[in-house]
Amino acid sequence: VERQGDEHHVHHRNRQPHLDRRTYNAGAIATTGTVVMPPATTVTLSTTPATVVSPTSVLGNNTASWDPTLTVSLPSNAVAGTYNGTINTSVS
Amino acid sequence: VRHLFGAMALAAVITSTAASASFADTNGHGRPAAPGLGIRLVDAPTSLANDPRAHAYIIDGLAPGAVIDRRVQVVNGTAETARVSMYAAAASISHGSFTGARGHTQNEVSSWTTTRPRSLSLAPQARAFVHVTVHVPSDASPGERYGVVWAEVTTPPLAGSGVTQVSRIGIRLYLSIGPGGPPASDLAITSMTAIRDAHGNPMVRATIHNTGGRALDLSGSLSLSDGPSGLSTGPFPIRLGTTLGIGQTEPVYVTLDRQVPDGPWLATLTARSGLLKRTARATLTFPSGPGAGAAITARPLPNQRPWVLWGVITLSALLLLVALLYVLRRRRGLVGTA
Repeated sequence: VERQGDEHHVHHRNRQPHLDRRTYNAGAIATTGTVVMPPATTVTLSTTPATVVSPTSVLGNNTASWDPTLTVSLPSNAVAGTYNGTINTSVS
Repeated sequence: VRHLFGAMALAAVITSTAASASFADTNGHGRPAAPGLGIRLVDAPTSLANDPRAHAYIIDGLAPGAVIDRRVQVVNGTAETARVSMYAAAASISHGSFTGARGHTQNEVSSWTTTRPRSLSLAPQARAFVHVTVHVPSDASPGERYGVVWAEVTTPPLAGSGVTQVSRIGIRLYLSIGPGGPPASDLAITSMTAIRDAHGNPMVRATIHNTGGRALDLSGSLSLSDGPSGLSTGPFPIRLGTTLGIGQTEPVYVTLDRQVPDGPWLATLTARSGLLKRTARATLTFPSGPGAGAAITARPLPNQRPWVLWGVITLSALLLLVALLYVLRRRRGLVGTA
């Protein structure tokens, strides 16, 4: 079982500006039951899914929850306006 | 006709505001749903009833032209009605991870898979069954293929945020296509390395090679024995999450207790995937500071199967009986001549 954060498609009208860096940090992970979660690390997001949280051991019924921090750094030459993004979170 | 039975299975959960996952769940009847959206596999083939992987994932060996039907249950543990989209999409195994492809990306196995219904409207705490049907075309080429059946919810951006959240949870598909039974699974533990990380914690890195014909989801444990002053310790679990594709080789890690002395130790590693189990040994000494020792070639241990043990016991008993009869006859002979 791994959780994967994938992708921000960021669109500005018809332009797709190059974004310097998009990062995901799960922060503190709260658990119930028997599950060991290593401390979260900052993951750079792209259009390819990447693992953001993965347990080291699990036993029986348990849960893990977290409130991720997303950071988008815009280049200094970005055009002012409204930008939209999508974050996909997958668990399988 | 395949016989199916209800199975307790893995459930995974995502809430729309924060991601959250539950890694295993019982069938959930009669108690509130875990928070978020949940999914579990209901049916597993009777031929794989003892295989824990077959209760979490859709795993099967299918001949071209075969059709299978499996049920999954989707549960809404959120406080709002959820509009859930059900679909199959591609997946692949690389660098030790099983990864679902982005969005609705298709491959062969996902194009053979349909869900009924394709969307659900679930009230809070409501559950629904979804049928997953895989129809393998008669001209499908042999080999193992991967996919995921996803349950997906989309949360539109809050006013002024501009960020759409798509959360999905899925059941993995591992389908081996070919005539006759599916190929056997096997693995080899090739080497072990003693490591001390930057914080001084001892770890063991073991290299595992998938030598069989199916993908493997690795678990297992490491024990240390014959240490300083005859110490023994463990078992310590292998870090989870490593999936090995056919022919792939990846490292798995075991984190040990900080108190473990440097050694030397006799390390015994057992690696499992479903019903497959392989054990190997190596003599390891941990470096006194951060760093890694040399990779030590692991010696495989013979597979201890119950029938081998019973065979040995029966053979020993027979030999003892023969020896006893021989002694008795000699004694009688001696008495006869005296």
